[in-house]
Amino acid sequence: MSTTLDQAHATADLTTIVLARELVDAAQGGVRVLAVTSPLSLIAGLCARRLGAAKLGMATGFGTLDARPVASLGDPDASAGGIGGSRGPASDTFVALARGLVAVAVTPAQLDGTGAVNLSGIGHVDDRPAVALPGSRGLAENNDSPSRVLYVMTAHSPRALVEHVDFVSGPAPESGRYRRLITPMGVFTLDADAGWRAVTVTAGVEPSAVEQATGFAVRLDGAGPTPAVTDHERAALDVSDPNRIRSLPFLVGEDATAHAAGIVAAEAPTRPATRNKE
Amino acid sequence: MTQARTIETALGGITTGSTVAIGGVGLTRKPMALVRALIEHGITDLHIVSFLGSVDVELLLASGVVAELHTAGTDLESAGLAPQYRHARQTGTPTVVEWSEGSLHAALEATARALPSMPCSTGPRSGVVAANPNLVSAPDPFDGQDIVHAKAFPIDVALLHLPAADREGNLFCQADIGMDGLMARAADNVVVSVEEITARPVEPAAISRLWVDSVVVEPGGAWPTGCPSAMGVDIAAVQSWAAAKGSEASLLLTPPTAGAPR
Repeated sequence: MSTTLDQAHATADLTTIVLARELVDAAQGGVRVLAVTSPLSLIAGLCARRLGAAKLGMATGFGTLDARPVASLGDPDASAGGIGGSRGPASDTFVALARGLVAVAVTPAQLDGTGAVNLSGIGHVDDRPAVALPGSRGLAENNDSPSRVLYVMTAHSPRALVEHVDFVSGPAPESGRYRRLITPMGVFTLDADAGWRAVTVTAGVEPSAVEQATGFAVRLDGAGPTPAVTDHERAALDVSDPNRIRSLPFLVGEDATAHAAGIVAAEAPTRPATRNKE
Repeated sequence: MTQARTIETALGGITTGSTVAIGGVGLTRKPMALVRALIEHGITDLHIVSFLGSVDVELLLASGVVAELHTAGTDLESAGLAPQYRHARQTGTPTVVEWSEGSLHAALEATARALPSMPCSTGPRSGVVAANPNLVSAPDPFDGQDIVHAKAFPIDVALLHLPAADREGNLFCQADIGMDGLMARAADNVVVSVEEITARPVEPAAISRLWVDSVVVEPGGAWPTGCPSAMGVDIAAVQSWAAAKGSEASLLLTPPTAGAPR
């Protein structure tokens, strides 16, 4: 985890743009919908629309496609994923996922060498976790789906990137599924029957550091440097997320609390007024 | 038939041991006024279904009224992990049954359709299937591949919060309604709090009056969660709960004074 605010912001910017680049590639490869799972993935989606994936749809809920989402902490419509769009059955996102039409960014607590993921808990004893986490959520459905699954980790750590997950929320995907891991150390791909391989490594990170920080084997040969954020990409970030909500996952403790308070304060003058009663 | 009611009247049919589905998703449209009233009624041994829970689960657990919790995940989003939920899972008291989103959706769908179970796209090799007695992996009768089936379970009452209702009891929301529509179809009794009663808008209803039994007007009834078109998330209040590790129930039992800035 970043130790300074500037470092956290820089890591947040690069992570968001790397994810946006993946979404642009996904859209060009036939993906129709980004299943939004977090403010960071939403912001990456908004950036992707400005960077070459203008038609990329967004699923910000379970039954609504193409709502008008906003990156905001205080907007009354933001937490619901925005208003408008097409209203379908509550299964619409699941349908698109099962048909391979989705790109979804997830942040598991653990990811292992086979691509299995865990968001349920650590250290199970007598069927109870020693350390309970939020729960498996959609990982049991999306991890082995034919859709693109992008794992976004805010830290590259052997505690998260483990040899074997403590609990299988999402089972290892079938061979050939498109899976990418995005961390502050680089971008990695799960090759069919060959495990994880680095596609790019963040500038300034040594290959040995990646090996030491990863609990499973990762091939590093042939990996180039992760391209830095360009001016055009920077502009997309500034428009999509002017108050830096994307930095929140990379901050802890008082830094995170203060940053969230600053965002809410910055948004207050532009927040829509409550509707009048009848 | 939808009737406008007071909270006390609307919740009158809930008894000890009832299965209660809580609408909303995460920090969006949790029916917190109804949840608080439920707790104040002194009803205990509740079986709670919260698709993606947050402060609703936290307050119910902190109040000691839960016998069993069913959820596909519970946390406080940007405010972090949910302390009461974590304690329950780590100690085993009360019982927490872990679902995945797809499997819980399938169970609600089966209940709504009056079917004993429903197949879903949950991976058979997921640990959720092994750990949840309501999920079974079995060969599909036509092509033989292993498919997970989710068991239906009766829901006595669904508690929901939406932005608006018309005088007929049709419910309106311009944003996604998560599993609220499915819960409304699955539950025997549907109690909804709304920000306001409005003249029927041009847009179609998000949930038809035909699924709704009681409507209660409760502005700010989702606090501290947000409600589209009405109020944003009171993230400071949620962070205060997290910082207190869920030990101060008063933080969630006392909404801000009406008219005070949020």
